[in-house]
Amino acid sequence: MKSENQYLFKFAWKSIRRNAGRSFFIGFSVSLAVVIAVWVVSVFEGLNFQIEEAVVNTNMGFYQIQEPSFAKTTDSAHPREFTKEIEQKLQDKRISSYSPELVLDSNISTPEGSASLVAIGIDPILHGKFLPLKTNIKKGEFISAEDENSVVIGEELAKKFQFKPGDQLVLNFQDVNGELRSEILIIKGIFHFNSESFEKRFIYLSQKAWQKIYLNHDSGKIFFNRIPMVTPSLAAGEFIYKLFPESDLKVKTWKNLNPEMAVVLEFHDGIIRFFFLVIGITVLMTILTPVQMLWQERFKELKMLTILGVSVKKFWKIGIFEIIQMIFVSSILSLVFLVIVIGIQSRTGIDFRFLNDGVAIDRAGIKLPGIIYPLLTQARIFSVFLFVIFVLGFSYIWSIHRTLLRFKVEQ
Amino acid sequence: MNQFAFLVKFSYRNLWRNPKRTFIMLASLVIGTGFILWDLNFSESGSKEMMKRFLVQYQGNYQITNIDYYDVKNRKSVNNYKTLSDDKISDKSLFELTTKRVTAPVFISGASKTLGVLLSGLDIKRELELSKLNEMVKVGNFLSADGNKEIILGKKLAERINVKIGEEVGVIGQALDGSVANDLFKVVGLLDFGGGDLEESLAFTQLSTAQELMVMPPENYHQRVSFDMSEKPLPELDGVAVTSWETLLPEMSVSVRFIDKFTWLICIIIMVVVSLGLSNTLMITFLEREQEFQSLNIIGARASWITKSLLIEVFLLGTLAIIFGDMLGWFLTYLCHIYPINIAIFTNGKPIIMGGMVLMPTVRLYSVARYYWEVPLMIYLFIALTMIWPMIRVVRRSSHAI
Repeated sequence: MKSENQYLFKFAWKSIRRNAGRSFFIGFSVSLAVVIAVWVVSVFEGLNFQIEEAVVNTNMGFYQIQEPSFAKTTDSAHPREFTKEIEQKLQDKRISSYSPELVLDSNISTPEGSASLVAIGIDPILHGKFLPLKTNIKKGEFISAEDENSVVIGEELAKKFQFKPGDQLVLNFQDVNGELRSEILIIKGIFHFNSESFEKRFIYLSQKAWQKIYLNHDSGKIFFNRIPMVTPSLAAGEFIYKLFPESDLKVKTWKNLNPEMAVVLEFHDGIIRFFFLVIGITVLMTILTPVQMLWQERFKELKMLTILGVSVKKFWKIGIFEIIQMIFVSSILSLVFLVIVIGIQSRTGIDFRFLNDGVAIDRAGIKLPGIIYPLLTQARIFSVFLFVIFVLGFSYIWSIHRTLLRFKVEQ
Repeated sequence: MNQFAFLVKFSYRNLWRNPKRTFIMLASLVIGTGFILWDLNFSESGSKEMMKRFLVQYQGNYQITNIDYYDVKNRKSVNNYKTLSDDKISDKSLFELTTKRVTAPVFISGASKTLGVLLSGLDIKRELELSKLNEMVKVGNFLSADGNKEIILGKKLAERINVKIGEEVGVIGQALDGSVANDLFKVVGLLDFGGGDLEESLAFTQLSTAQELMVMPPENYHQRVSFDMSEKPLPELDGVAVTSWETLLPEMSVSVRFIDKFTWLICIIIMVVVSLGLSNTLMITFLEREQEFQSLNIIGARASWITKSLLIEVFLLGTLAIIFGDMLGWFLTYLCHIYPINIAIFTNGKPIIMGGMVLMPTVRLYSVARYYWEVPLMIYLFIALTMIWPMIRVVRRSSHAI
């Protein structure tokens, strides 16, 4: 049995090679379609990955735990204490970093103009692990936990209002009692990170300074309106919903917090699925005829083999071996192309800035990537194999079936 | 001419010698052509429909402003001191198509919060005629034409600053004379953009109220916004700036261009794939007839004659495919005109959010005339490329007959 299979396997290989050019053409058609399709998909995956990374880096994280009134209306007046119990729960190895934060909507008004700001009270050590602002300070230095009236601001804000380290910034806001307040803060550092709108909007204070100006006293404890956290991805962070089962704390994902970009990603995924479907149908239709012709050509040969005593079952076996061999060859061909093309482009990137004359675009508060680095995931490689198996499998099985049907009728 | 007619007849008969095979080749080309046409129409209609829905609500198609109102390097930045008046606009016919607006970046204070927003003063009568902003007011009323110091806020903004209909909000900004502009406004309505971010950043009042707040003469304003959605070129005016939405919203414009270019890319990929399959099939079909060509060669047919017959055969196939493909593309487009497509199928049922505004993503397709010759041209090109290699091979082999 084993030697029969070996023989039939060899027979199938020789049949493929008998018409080497034509077989190569079929394999090449499938491979090329797969390569093009996967390349487009990889570009979109890369784009989605970069968009997600940019959104997460707008001090958002993949997930946020928010106290209920802040979750509903961004009301900062009811912060919660960052207790040891919460801290312990966040030590889970699936959470890479987190930052308990106090959030205050505020504004500044100067002769250069006015701007709305979000003043974030942070624990500099925890925040340092969450967002690399400290390493992106361009002028001055980052705040420390003990600073009582210092602030770090973004480069774009500094540019607009001509601020430099050491300057005073008069922050206007309504405090915990709803009273209009103006507080003088000293600019300690200027960071350059993420998009222009991020740099214009977010300013950072220590928890101490924030509590002093908004709550009118420093509690000496860490409070939070929200705790953004970084997990490997959204999918990997499902367990966060189960972290505080009996608490009224709300869990939000970056997709809840930035729905515009979330829909952009969903739209990209939808287009990719549609694209794959179209390419699948097209390839199927175009290789069906050549494969069928290849089998019809062997009609007389099959007749002769029957006279020699070969059963129809064996023809099927030969056909299936041919499918396996073609799948193997096409998959290898596709993967070699893909690894070379995407391997190079994932390092060099593909410049799509020509779409907007080289101008960087901010959308929904994030900077859209101009250079896209394609991303080829294991799941995508797996789908390549599935695609090749389906297309070649279907074409060959259909062709063998049609040929053998004709064969049966003529017999 | 007779010889040509004979060639056409000869090629046509060859096409139908193996009808099933010809039918499959024809079908793959027809489906490819039909799909490409439908896809291009879908992309064009989808982009235009989405943008139209977005623009008619508030943004407008283009704006006439003072030349220095927008910062040329960054259109998100404006110089509010640069105003405009009707006497600066030479083409008075544009007044009928546009509405005046005063814009002011201000802070709005509610019970618990002060937030920065863009306050727009509207010419209520014209706005009701031209834009669809009033349809977005889902709670309370739109601004009254003869009212004063009324304000409508985004629903999210009202929630954040904790104010309700009938309550007052404090508005603080910088007037054009350098003084601090501040006043109390009564909230009369809440805008619902479906929950998009735009709900947090916009507020509207009467034009006269905004002019008074900003200490502006009543004849001055910042923008004349056009809601004319026809594809006419922008008006050319001396001394003022005419800026299209593409320039004002590059992030939207680039998204539309990206989708358009991506659609063309898909079409080309489909054609490459179809061409490869077609080339393979043609090669087999031609090689099957190799002996025939050799016989023709022996009885005096030159290689050029065989080449011509093959060329005509393939172009007959292509022409038939294009005719039926165009019909199929038109039919599919027409079908999707009657039964519009919900784009939510691409977003797992979620609505599209553009520029902070939630849009109902239903697209009614319409045919774009230029695609009905652009696509056939592309297909002819690919067919020509497809047959080069099979033809060279077969003609070279057949010409050795003598």
